[in-house]
Amino acid sequence: MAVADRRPSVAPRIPFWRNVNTIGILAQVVFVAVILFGVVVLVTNTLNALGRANLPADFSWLGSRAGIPIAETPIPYTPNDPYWRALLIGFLNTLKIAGIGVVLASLIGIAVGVMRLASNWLVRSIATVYIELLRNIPLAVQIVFWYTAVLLPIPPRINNPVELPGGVYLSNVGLAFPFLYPTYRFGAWIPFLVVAVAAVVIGVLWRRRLARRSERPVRVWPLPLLAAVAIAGGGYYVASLDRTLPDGLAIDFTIDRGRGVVYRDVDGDGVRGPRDPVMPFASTIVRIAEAELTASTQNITESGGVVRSTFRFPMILGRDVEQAVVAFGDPDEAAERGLEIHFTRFPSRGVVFVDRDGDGAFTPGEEIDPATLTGFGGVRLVMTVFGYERHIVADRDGQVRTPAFSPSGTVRSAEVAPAENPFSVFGAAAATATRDDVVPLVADVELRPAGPLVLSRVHVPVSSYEGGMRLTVNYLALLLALVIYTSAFIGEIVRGGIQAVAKGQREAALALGLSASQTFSLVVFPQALRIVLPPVISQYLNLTKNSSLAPLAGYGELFVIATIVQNQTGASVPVALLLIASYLFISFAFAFVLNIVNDRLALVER
Amino acid sequence: MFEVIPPRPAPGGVAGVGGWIRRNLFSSPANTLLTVVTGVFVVYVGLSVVLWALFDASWGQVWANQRLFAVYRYPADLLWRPMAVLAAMMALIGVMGGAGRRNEILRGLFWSLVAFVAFVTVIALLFWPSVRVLWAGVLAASLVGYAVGVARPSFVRGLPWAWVAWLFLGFFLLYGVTPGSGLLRIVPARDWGGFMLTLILFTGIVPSFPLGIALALGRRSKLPAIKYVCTGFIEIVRGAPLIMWLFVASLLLPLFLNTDPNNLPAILRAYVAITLFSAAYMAENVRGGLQAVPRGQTEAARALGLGGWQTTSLIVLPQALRAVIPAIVGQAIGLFKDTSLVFIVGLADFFRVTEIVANQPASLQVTGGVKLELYLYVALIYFFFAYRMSIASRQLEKQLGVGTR
Amino acid sequence: MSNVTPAPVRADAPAGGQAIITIEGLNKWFGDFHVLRDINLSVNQGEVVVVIGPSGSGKSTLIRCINHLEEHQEGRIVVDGTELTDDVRNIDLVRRETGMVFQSFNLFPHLTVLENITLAPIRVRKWKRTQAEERARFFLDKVGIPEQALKYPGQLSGGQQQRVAIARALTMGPKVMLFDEPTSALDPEVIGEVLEVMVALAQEGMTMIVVTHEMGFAREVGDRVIFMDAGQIVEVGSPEHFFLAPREARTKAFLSKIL
Repeated sequence: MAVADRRPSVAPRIPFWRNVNTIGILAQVVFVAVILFGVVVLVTNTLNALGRANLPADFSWLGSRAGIPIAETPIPYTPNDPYWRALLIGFLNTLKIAGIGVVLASLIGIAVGVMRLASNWLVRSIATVYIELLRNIPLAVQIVFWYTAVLLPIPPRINNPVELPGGVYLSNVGLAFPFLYPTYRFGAWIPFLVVAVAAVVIGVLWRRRLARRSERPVRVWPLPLLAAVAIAGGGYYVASLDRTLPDGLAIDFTIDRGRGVVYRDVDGDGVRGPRDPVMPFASTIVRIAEAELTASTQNITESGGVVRSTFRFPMILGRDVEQAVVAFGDPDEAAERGLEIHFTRFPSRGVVFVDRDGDGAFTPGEEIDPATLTGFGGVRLVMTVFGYERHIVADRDGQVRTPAFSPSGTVRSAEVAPAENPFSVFGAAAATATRDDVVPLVADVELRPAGPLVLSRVHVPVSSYEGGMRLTVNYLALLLALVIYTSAFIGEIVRGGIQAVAKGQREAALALGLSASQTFSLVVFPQALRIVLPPVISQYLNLTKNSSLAPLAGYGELFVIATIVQNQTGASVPVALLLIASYLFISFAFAFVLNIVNDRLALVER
Repeated sequence: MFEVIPPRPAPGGVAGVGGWIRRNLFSSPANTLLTVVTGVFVVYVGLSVVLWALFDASWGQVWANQRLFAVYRYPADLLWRPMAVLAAMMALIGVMGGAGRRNEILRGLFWSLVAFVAFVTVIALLFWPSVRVLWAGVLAASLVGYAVGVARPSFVRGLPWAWVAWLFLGFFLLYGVTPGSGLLRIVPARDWGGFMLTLILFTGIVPSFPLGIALALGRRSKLPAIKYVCTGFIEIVRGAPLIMWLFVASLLLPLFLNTDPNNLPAILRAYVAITLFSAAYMAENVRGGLQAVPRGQTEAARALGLGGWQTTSLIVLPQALRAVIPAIVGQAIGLFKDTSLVFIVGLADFFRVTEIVANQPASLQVTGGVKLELYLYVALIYFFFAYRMSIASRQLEKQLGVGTR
Repeated sequence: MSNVTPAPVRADAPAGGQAIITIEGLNKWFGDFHVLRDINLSVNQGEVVVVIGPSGSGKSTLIRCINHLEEHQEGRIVVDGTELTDDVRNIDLVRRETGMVFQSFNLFPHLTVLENITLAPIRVRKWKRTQAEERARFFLDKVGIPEQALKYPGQLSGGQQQRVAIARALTMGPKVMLFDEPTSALDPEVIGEVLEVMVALAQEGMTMIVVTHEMGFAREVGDRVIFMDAGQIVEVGSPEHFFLAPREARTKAFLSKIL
């Protein structure tokens, strides 16, 4: 059009406070001026206050030594590390609880949501009660409930943990379970993994194209996934073929303390120097021909009840030894008192009792000494193990730990010669190994080649877990509370989503002759997903933000660490800024994902 | 010849109680099995909880510390002050309930609260001589308020101002005016706590309401400077959890005002944080409502000659707010639960008192501890109020849904 | 109309009358899209102008420019001696003097019928409540629904709602009434009751600009009909001219579809 390039004419002589074009600008100028004035006042005040109180206002303290002990560290950390690393640990711990929590909350939430729609009234009601109860009680109350009222008092103590199937241990310290860790050979496997991922991508694209052209429905995912598993599996085998150990791999093992460190002898001097790096997750075998452990019986209070006359050796399992013999440290005295041993878990756990009813076996009540009406406390027991052999996977810090054995026969020799310190059995074998019948403590520690991954099993020395994946009770309490709380919200969203798919949709699909399962998977589910996904993602964000209630469970995530750091350094403003920035980062990451999801869903809609 | 076939009763299994049971519990063998298994589970759990609560649990500490739970260390001889504030609150709610008595949601909410007050009054009459009269007074005030609301429904128009007045006067009454002793002596904020503090913090939603509306309008403004400042505030505040803001506010507010931290009571800092946090969420809720008002409404108002502010305040906002009442109630539930986070700034709210009671020597002497009992009690009280609100929210949603169709 | 002569069609009011609306060289863009192109239109006091045209032709935008619901970029719009400029006061003045009726009624759902009608008189004209209500009832009576005063819009039928909307606009005492497809959203059986009100209004001498497809209405009370297409005025004439001998091919094509 010929008129398109004309410029708009500006009407003259309108006072600026009445001109639509200038009113807005005027309002903004005033607004910004007020805001700026406020900000300037606050900043000046803050700077004055900081100057007066002599508090740090910059980030230079981030590099100094933190000295904060943290129980759970996804990456190596010691209190000697600087503040930034402590904060990083906190951030990673936040991700650790959020990542696992999101998965578990989704699973439980979907189950609860589906239960809410069950045809069985009882099931439906249970789900309703679950949702209403959990949504309407503050999360803080729930965390403290799980932590101080359930997980701390109810599970047994760490020195007598419950062993669940699959080598999982539960106690008041937390949960530990076998876990696969990457070894030094993991690098050899990576190319295969890359190829496997590429295979999935290419395979899916190819199958999709096929599906579009094909006359019949084509399953897109199974074949590429199968191929990927095959490639990864084959790669694992190939990577495991090389059975050589890395150059200079060595272990520095102190037999009488039962611990060692796997390291790489870089300088080649055969001794572990400060420059030699530790080697995590190395697979070792510790063999000891014959050795001894001692323990004393105790009367202890546990889970609200008193347990009497129990003895606890470091947890030694049947598979660890060829033979184990437990005898009284003072057989004569034991015989005199009529004491006998009953194993609750051979050979490490049991009670000492007197067979008063003469049935040749332990009967509850017999562990109480009728003379004192308490248990037989302080009875010394000796376990002699023969052919001890245990696979131990070094920890993340290269540590290999095994029970602290003493030379076989020491205890009796100590009895014979009480003048020599009887407690020297720990760590001072030579001092007592004077008699002929003492078998010297010799350990054969072998470093074994490993595949790309190694299964680290849980051991329980006396009062801690070793190996495997260990989750503290703090983590578990927070996780449990977050998962259960969020699952109630997700359950309600899932129910709403499925119900929101119009009844007509189901009826139409059934009328077309689709089966009930086809109706759900092809018609209802895709539509429900579109409704459910956005609010569920915002629940994931809520879960992540709610993990900041960690102080109630004593779990060291970002917020907890930040409060400690602030307390130590007094750097209020920098810590506040770091916290805000971190949470904004998390929120924006979720918003980013949500946007992608929304875009994809919008495409589906067209 | 045509003859009307008389209706016959449905065969068994379709109608009646028996039919319902069959359809919902025993429709198929698998369903029957499910019913039996879950039934056994429910009975087992229910029975063990009841048996535990009746025989094994020790509720003595819960009972003995009711005053701590209610007002924490607020002086016993001044209890009439918080009770007067509570009475005024109940009276105002009564006016609302009475004036809107045809609205079953409002009415139901009011009578639930009255039932709660009546329950406590009965207990007070039986066991707590010192607060007998006070509780009876609160109950009376609620009923008087209701009667006033019934008689003079037009009083509702003044309610927003009445609530603001209640907020300020209530604060001064709780805090007191004169130093030293006497009926109106000052009670330092560090002695406030318990459920009273939970309610005080919950009132943070009142100032957050106008703030949230302003932020929402700002975010929808055509003027970029206003829009970006408001959007930035909203998103930053919503991006981080409340507990962090409580912590940050307690650190930074004294710095912002360049004053000694002791001059700013922890309650005030927590209140500011809760109000601003709640305002950001309120803004998003209100924005949702604003988006739901059709453009034609604004155009019609402008075409009639109404100005920008008039259009917003008379036409757009009333419609927007009505649409988001359920969301605002939902937010109120969230805030009610979230007041429990003020433990992070050292306040002894209802939740935190539990920990204090649990660590009393008397609690530690009880075999097996009393934490389970204490937390169940606290959970129950929170649940009562939150669940009642969520029922109201659901009813509102239903009512609005019917109204628009 | 020829493609090489961009000279715009002028829709000037008949000489002799007193022009109340004058639009000169009006151009408007939505972003890059040129919606109104060189519109020249004037309307005399008491005249009824009917604007027809296919959807997207800019006819609604045109009358929305007249009360500045849409901002124009070029040209002059003068309503009752007040030019619509960037001056906020002028915009308010013009809006007070023009009433508008929308396709989707746009009644305020949270107010009763009476409150809908009295809102603007009380708030803008600063009338007393009793005076405003009296006028409101007068116009409700006039549009034939005096008994609905205390109901909410949601309780009324579409035809009743539109009549309330007309009463609402009239109560302000406007000099010009703008109708933006007032019957398009109505069920066929209630269109008549709204048209009746509009016809009565026209016969009383109200200045009206009506965007509509109701050719019966145009024939009965229309003084002039304007056909718009692609943001331009294509043809201007009396209703009879349009029904008997439209000049332009586009006009013919359009009329053949709607008649």
